[in-house]
Amino acid sequence: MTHPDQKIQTLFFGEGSITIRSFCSPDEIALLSLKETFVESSQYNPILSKKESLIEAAVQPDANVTLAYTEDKKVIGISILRYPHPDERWLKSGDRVMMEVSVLEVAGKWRQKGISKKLLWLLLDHPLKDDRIIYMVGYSWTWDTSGTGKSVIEYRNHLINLFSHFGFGIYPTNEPNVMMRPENLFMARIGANISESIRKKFKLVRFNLDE
Amino acid sequence: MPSTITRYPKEVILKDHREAILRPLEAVDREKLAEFYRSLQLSLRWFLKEDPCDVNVIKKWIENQTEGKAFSLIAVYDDRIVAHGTLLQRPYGGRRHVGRLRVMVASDFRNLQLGTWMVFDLIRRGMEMGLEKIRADFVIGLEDSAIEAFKKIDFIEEAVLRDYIQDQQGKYYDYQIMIKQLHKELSDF
Repeated sequence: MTHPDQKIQTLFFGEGSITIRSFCSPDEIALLSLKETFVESSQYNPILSKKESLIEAAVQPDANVTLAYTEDKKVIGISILRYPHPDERWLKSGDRVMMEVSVLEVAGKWRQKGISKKLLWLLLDHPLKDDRIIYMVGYSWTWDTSGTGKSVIEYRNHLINLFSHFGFGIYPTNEPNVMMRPENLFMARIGANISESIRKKFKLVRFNLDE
Repeated sequence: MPSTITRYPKEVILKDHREAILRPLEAVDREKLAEFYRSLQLSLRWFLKEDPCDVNVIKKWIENQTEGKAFSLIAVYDDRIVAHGTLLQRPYGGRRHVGRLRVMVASDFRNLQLGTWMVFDLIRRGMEMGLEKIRADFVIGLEDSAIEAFKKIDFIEEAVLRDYIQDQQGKYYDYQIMIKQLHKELSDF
């Protein structure tokens, strides 16, 4: 069944058209393929290369799996918005308060075409966007610096520019994985309906402090 | 110096829940920075290369910041400067790829992670400046906790200069030079 908030956008390139679809259902994902586009190589391992992982994400409550795919149903862009894992500190901000942009990736030959921005646009076009704190973490060890030819700091700046466009700001946190390398990144966007008490909790949670 | 993409002011919450604001040093901070250094024990200030209580020294530091020779960061709490960190870059010659880092924290703000936040921001700034190494020097026997903290963020004990530093009473101390390599790319293994 199609999600009521699903949006579809078509982009035209010389190589053919690309469809970007938000709130993909397990049935819709089942019709697509990642086999040729998101494959592991000696240079780089994509964050996600199995369709089952997409389906698993799509059935999570309030999750948005937004995909970009070619006319022949090959997935060339993946983005996922979902609640964090129960073990993560972010749950201390409150139940279903924070949602993570857990994946944003475009396959190698489709980069530099603005697809990640289009993916994010539909990913964040979520009915709960004003009621959630949406965040992303950037770990430099997951960045395809060799494939993009960017240094880690250039890649970081690219992410900052991309997410800033959607109202995200950089927030300091002592989350150990973020603290592991200076170029790592934590950005968030606080929804308009987020109360002052939750904002305060979010501030303390970033530094792993209790009220 | 390239423009920084790290946005300031930046609010950090310390282990005791106090909130400090990190921001670059500005000309208006001259007197408050001198006050900060005057509040530190002389034994800590003694090992700096210049007298930080001298407003002319601070004036020069601010000029270095304006001219792009240094990036100075302060932490402010309740309108008071509680930490000062600097990353110096030589604009000319064979040491252009090396930055020198120094952070001083007020005694009542130590062991609260404030120094770590300052160092992290300065390292990131060094990466944005295209530096390849960052050097930090410490007086062994007086700054051992800082040496341990810097080891944890991948600074390597590169050399020790024996009896290089003398305190006010004439006692000699060894001087530890530590280096952190900044990598533009990550290695595969």
